[in-house]
Amino acid sequence: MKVRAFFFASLREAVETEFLDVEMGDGEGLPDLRQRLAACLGADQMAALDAPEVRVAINRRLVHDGEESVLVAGDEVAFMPPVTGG
Amino acid sequence: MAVCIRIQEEDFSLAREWEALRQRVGGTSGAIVAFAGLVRDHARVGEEPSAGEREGEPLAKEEPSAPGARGCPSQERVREGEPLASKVSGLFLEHYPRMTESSIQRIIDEARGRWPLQDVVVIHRVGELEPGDQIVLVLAASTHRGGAFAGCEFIMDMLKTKAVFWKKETRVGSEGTWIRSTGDDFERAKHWQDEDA
Repeated sequence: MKVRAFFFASLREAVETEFLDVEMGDGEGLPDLRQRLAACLGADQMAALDAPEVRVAINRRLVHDGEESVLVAGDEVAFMPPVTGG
Repeated sequence: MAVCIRIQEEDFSLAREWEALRQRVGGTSGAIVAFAGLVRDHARVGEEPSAGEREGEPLAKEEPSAPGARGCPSQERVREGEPLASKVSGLFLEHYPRMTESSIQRIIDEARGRWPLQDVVVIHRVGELEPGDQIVLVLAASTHRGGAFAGCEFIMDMLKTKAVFWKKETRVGSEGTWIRSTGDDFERAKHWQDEDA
């Protein structure tokens, strides 16, 4: 199954793409997605995604620290740097 | 209670939005407060703005000089060692469709839980903007001016720290910089929580 990882703002620039489709196994979650991204991205790019201030949203809902979630086919996982509007 | 949230590239007309809101609320609201944020050229940081160009003074339909009315947060971001001559050529705003709208809706819902707001409008622009452009509009209508002032200010303060937008400041001769909320932005957001304590 595939999930789509989106990258916004500075992270999009770091990863040099708006999104990546990632092949995942059944029952896998965010840590597995990070491992699969690490296999296709550079160390600097992964460091940007793994920075502590980066928030992750699954299907447009923020994932809280320590929250475990299983990804399913078609899920959107967004990697988001700190936001600022106004 | 009516809520209008729009994310758009095109400019907006404060007068048109104000009049539409005034028609919607009819006689139910006694006050409408508006905040319009502008893209500011940081090269002018250090110059004391005149009253006419100070950014973001709320416009009040009822008693604009009421106690409690004060300036709203500036768009300016000053960085140490940055030459004043490094002119801002523009601002680029990015959002996450649907998640951005949801984040604004949550802010408005929280405001409604605090003040009796009859109508709220939030228009936020995205894409390429230039110094002087309008970037955000917040209108809040309430029974009394207190709720309208506070509701508008609260929504604006929360937009700065909780709404899902990213802003990149572009400068002449450089790649540009992604802007983060400032300490002042977080302080302003925090003071609402402190009021609850």
